[in-house]
Amino acid sequence: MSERMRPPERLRRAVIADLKPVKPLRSPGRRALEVALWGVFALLVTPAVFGIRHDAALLGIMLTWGAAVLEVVAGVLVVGLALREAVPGSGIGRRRAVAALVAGAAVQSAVALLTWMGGPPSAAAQAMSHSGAKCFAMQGMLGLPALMLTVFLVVQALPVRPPWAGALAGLGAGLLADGVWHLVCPVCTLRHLLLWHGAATVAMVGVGFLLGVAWEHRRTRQVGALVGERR
Amino acid sequence: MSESERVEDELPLLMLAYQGGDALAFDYLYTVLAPGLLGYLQSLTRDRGRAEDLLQETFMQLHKARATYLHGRPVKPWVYAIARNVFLMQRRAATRRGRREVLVDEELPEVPIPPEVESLADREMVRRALARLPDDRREVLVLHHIMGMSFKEVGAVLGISEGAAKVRAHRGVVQLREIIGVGVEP
Repeated sequence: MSERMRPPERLRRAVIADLKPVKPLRSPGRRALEVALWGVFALLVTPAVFGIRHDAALLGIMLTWGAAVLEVVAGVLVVGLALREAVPGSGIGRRRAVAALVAGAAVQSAVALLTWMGGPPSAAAQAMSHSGAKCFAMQGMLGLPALMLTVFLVVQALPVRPPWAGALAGLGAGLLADGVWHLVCPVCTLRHLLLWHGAATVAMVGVGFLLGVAWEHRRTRQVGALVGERR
Repeated sequence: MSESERVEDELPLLMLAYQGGDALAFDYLYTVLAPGLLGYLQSLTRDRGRAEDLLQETFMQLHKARATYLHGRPVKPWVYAIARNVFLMQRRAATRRGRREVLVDEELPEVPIPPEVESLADREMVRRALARLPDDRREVLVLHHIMGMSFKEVGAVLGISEGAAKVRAHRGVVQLREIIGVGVEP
């Protein structure tokens, strides 16, 4: 080994001082299962606590449990993409990230559309007595734990494009929350579903994106300071 | 099997040993990866001294993130993605501090030259032409032609698709030919 190619002594000392064995991260798919556990838990507990939507019989199993499970699965898949994006050199790229965001929005919109088409004709009257803000808040409460867990897993992997990973994490959490709350929310007007439920998911994407930006700022400051120190 | 192929095969095993706490594995990884990384960082920064600083920071980040290397995956895209990220963060931090980085053509250091265009003109002319390429095109040429990465790996480093990496490389070579003034082959 030539002298020139050896690590500088300062770097080597810093590395050796911290050279304990580390457990390699599990694959993004397997880590996404941790978020899936929250999804399953919420899917089972939320209807038990708040009661299942009163028009469940009319909508049928596919438009209630089927749609809910579809959204939760889609959410977990997007979380998997976020975790993959977070691993350096394994990123899915901007184009695929945008495609995932569009696909996620399409899944939620499709569920909303089908629910509106299959819902009771008096849905507009129900909507009058139901606060959209409540749905927004409940989806936020259901989605935040999933978002925080996903962001924690994302940060563990040292993402090179944190805002993108954060936005995907937000979308995954938003879809999961919408899927769960779909079992409870009694309103099936298109306006309510797209406006309030959609806004909850968009807000989750925004929060994820901003968390990614904040983390990127923090790391930029750290790295900038360290390199500046050496100069 | 060539020497470089043998080293490529060894990299995942070295990473495994490094994750297991083997100091010699770190030394060997540095020996194998540092020259290429330095060339890459130099092509990004166009400043030898800054590239050396970033190289050290890259290995520090690589050390902190060693658990994130996934077994069975190629090592180089992982390492180069971290190096690129270190460069981008440092550049962003400098911009925030209000320090503008002015690149003077005459002061450009050695930028690696792809073999595809080396024969077109003398090294100095190619070096200057390469330096005039947009960053994204030059980066793809350096990663593919100099560092020997596949387009799939280049895409993984840059966060773009394999196809997009190919298109950028092709446009880069065409633009290089135009700058040098040898025209485009049919």
